[in-house]
Amino acid sequence: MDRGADEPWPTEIRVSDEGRLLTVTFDTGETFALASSYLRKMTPSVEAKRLSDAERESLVSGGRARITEVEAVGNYAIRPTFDDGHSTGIFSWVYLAELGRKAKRP
Amino acid sequence: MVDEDAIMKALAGVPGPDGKTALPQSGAIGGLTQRDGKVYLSIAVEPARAAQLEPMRLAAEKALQATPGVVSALVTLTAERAPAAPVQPGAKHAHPPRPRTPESVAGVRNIIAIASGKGGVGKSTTAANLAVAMAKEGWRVGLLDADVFGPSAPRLFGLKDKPIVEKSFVVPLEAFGVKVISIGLLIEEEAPVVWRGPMVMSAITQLLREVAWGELDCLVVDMPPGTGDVQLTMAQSAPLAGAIIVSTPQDLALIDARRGVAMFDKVKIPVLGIIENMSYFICPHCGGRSDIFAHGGARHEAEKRGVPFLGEVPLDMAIRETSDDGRPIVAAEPDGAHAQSYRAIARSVMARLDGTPQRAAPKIVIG
Repeated sequence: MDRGADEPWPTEIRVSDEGRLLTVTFDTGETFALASSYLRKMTPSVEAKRLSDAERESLVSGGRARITEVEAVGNYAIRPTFDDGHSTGIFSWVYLAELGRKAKRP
Repeated sequence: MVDEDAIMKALAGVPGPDGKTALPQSGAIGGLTQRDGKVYLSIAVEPARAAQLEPMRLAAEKALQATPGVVSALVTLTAERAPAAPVQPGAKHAHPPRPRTPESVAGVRNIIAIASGKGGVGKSTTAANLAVAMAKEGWRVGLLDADVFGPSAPRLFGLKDKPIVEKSFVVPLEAFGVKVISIGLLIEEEAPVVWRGPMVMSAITQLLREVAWGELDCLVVDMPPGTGDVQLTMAQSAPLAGAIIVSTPQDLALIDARRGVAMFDKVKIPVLGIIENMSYFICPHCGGRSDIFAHGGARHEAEKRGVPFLGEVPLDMAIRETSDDGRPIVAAEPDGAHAQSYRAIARSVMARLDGTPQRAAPKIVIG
């Protein structure tokens, strides 16, 4: 089965601006520049599942949400570490693409 | 004890990784251990040059074997240092990104998982025979028994020795041309493993990362049944090239096999195919055939899921007996019918691994 050929697959993941920006380039040619604070807010971590929007917002209110490290998770995701110590969010390729498309929409 | 000076003297005649400096002076010797005249030497090389440096490894092994007092010698190339990650100029805050692949498996071309949804379908026997079959086809093969609660590789491969530890890496044992490591080699056979999730995860990570696998064409991972901690840990800590699902043709087993396929889908690990085990039974007395678990179920399931069907293996006394004796049937009767079916499956898996290049991992750049 040609599984997942239509699913997004990243070719490069780049952290820049001293950890404030994560740029994902997909093999479809799409490129998304995601602010680290946005990623921190949208973390798919289980601990953050029950947080309200306001609570998520408060996570990044101090402006401390830079990415210090990015670890690859198997074949399907990355696990960034933020400078506030958060590192349990596993961002799958699909989720990154979803976030990118959402952020692009006005 | 063989005199270490004598060993170094023997190695002085072998040029190191740069082709000029003799091995003892090259700084590449990672570790030297010996036991009862058996000498184990590891040489640290860049993973990318490992194939090219195979003659050096052989030369070192020959030199050691020729040393008086040495009964046998084993030289392995280890990737002690991963090539440095490209550092962006002006990077201040960023830590270097962690390597995607643990160093210990950096020399492994393909890691595949043998899984089943349900226990007792003969997954470990299949994994063992596949590994031996691949080795017979000329591949360098390792087998990692990840079934921490019911390790069976020591029995299947007839292994009793404890593996030695060299420079904080466990050296896998070798049987029938396959490098084997199992939690069962590290603990007593009767000792139960009573662990909670985090313990299991760290054990699996250790079996993967702290074993000197060296250069392999394929590392076969014998997974425990089900879709739990171990499966997830494997999927997350190693770039698996694919998974093979073993199932009996019985409906009950197939339901669970389906779960296995779905799980691998979730973590983007391609399913290389399904093997039908205990496919049918030929009566040794009358020669009549019985489809004990019904026959062909796995093939239908594979067709339905659009997953390749890799082959079927019958339920047979000989397979069971050789397994319990610690001589997988592919090794015990390499030309028998059963060995042939395993070898056909192995060839098809190998072709699939060679033919479908893994989608390249994204480059992670921190700068």
